[in-house]
Amino acid sequence: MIANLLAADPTNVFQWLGDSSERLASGAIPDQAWITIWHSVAATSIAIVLAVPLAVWLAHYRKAELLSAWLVNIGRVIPTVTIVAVAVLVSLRNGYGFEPWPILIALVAMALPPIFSNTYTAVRGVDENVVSAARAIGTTEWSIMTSIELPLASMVILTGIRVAAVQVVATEVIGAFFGGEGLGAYIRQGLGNRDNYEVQAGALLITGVAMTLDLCLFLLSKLLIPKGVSPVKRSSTDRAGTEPRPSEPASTAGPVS
Amino acid sequence: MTALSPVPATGRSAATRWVVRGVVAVALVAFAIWAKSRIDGLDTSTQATNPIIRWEWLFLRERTPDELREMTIQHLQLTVIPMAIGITIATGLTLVARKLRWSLTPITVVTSFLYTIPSFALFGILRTLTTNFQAAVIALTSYSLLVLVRNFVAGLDGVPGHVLDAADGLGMGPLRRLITVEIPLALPVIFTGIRVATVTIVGLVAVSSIIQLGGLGSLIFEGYKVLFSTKIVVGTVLSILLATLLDLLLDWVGRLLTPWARRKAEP
Amino acid sequence: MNTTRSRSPWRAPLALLAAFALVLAACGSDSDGAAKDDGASKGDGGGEKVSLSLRPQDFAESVTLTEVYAQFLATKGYDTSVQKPDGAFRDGVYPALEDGEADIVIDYTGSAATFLDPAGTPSADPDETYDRLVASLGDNLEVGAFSPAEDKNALVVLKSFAEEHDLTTISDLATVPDVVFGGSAQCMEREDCLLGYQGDTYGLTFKSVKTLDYGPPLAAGLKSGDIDAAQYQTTAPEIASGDFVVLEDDKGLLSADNVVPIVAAKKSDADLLAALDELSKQLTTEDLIAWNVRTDIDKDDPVDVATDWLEEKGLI
Repeated sequence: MIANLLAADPTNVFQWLGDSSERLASGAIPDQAWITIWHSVAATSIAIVLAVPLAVWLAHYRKAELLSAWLVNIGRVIPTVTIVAVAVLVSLRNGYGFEPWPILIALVAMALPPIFSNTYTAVRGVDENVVSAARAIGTTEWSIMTSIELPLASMVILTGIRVAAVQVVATEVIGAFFGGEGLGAYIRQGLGNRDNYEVQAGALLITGVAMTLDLCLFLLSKLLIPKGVSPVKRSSTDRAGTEPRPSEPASTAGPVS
Repeated sequence: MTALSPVPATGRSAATRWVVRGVVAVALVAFAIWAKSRIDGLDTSTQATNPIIRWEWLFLRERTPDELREMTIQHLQLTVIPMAIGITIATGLTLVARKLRWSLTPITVVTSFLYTIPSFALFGILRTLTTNFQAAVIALTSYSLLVLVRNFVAGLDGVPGHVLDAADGLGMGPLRRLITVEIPLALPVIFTGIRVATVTIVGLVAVSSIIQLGGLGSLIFEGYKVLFSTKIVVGTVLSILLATLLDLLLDWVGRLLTPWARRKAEP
Repeated sequence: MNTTRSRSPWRAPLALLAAFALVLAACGSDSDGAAKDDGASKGDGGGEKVSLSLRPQDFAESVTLTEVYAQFLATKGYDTSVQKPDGAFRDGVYPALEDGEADIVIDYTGSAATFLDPAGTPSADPDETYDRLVASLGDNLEVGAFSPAEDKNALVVLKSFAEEHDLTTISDLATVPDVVFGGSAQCMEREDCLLGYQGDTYGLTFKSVKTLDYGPPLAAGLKSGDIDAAQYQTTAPEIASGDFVVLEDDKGLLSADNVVPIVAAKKSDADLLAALDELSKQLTTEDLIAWNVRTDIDKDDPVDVATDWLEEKGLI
């Protein structure tokens, strides 16, 4: 028993987490966590900046309906591994190396479909009567988009962002198998050296980061959503609450990874 | 924990569907013609330039068909087995949730929790506890549950109240009503859930390459390991094709099972 | 009316089941077909042949080497098969050898000795290293003679990097600030790799350490500047072409690494060892380099490279 405790090799995952000498090659936990977090947050932010305005504009003018429907399917069908592998390979061919560009570009590409399609569907689903009423009292199209459609759609948009963010974290850690760093490094290193505790510790840390990010965005959505915006759109059906809520968007857009 | 709403049954019009299929068919034919033209001009001297796709690897290499078939079979196994288990579990959970309404929230929370775990982490941690294949099946099953349960519950909830009243009026028992009325009417939404889960799983199978499985996805990892883009492209395209074919197959089965839905005008 | 009502209820769930049964059946029959095909191609050997399972490590040169030995042994009347590398390196290969999952591993003397006996003193001399390997083998393993073909571990840098910082030895790296070290996941936990460079032997400090897959990704990392120095193989095509230079191991951290077959004792006999030796002595370091050019640069299959070489040498 005592020999066990004194042994250099950790005997469980928590001992591994507490023992910094185990992480000579795979880096300190805060460093790797920081890499994963900044990659994820940066990529999600870029995707929001790119996708939300475009989707609001397109949805407002009812353009590109087929595109928005297909973007979900395309995002779901393409394996996440592919996006990372292709980004790395293209980057290497053009001399940009392994980090950080390929992984960031891959993550942005991952995040775009769910954010775009959720925003599009949400804005598309804003009650026509509200928009008509606003138009009738002389509100400009710009104001309709920014101060009516966007707030009313914000709940679903934030759901899309949450889905995207979780996927982005999941993809970021896969990047460790394609020459990236971040928390995935522990799983790569652990699988490579048959160190089960390292794999378990890495998995716990990754799950922790994903859950924390999800929770943060959930709390953020509680703070940001204007009062009075109901989370579920009421549909005028024969029996309230018995319809499969067809007006609600498919916020499961894109694969988990 | 991620709030996810059930995926609605798709309401694309028949015309759009045929246009899309036409475009896909034309694209495939064009691709085949182009590929053929490339093969005819192949010789070994073009190999060293290492283009994005080396067609002779795909079409002339003797081992390629066998390897691809083996990988496709593994990919199918890793899709169908978790889906079958997932549908069984989801059916059970749905029945529980219908019987005990309060249990829907914990069921949703748990399945959402599973859905939020990054697959990379789940494959890794299960690998340390069990065999590779079991680890992959358990992980993939757990990812199918959220979408399946959501859509199963939503599908059954979506059966109009007056239909239920009519069934009760005819003196049907709860089980008989479930099987003869509710499930058939819920099938479109149920099938949409199955389709979405299947396509998602097909995409996720690739990640199980990190535990020496991966089906067609292992081609992507192999391609990276030697920086050989042909393998990455072929693995991806076949994986996408597989997902699309399974999606169309399930769509077709769903349509066969609900002939009455075709007569209804779609929104 | 009544008949249609009583028929329809079960149709939907039954059809659902049938559909999945179909999918499952299709899947199952496919895999049966594949198994049959594999059986037909492999199992034509008859019952008397000794079957040997060879296990490569997960990098191209090891796979090519293993294929060469397997195909050569097949001509000597053995029923050989090469397993999939499946991401395994020595810590996966040797347990397989001990468990009887694999019968032969083609390894390199120094790296094998260091793996089996981490405490031993490294030596750049092939004979001493071979003796160390022989001493470190347990009762379960036997070893053939080593080949003149050698693929050492080496710390390599870009030629331009070496010229810029005037590097010839590994110790010179201490004068260069902010060196990023790259290597495989296994290298990071080996005494004759990262631990030796950072530890007592060299005492170097690296700005950071980056893990890349052993093979083209590691070479690509050097070329792209993601890493400055990498633990790589002396038979790398990039060294032969002059893009990379090997830093001299001035403190004797790295061992000689001649190709050597290691055999599970229960499959080993004089005939097998004689056959292995016959092949080992024909291999040269130049052959290894030529194979790596084909597998790493031209992306050819190790199997084909092995067959081509054996045909060229008139061995099959």
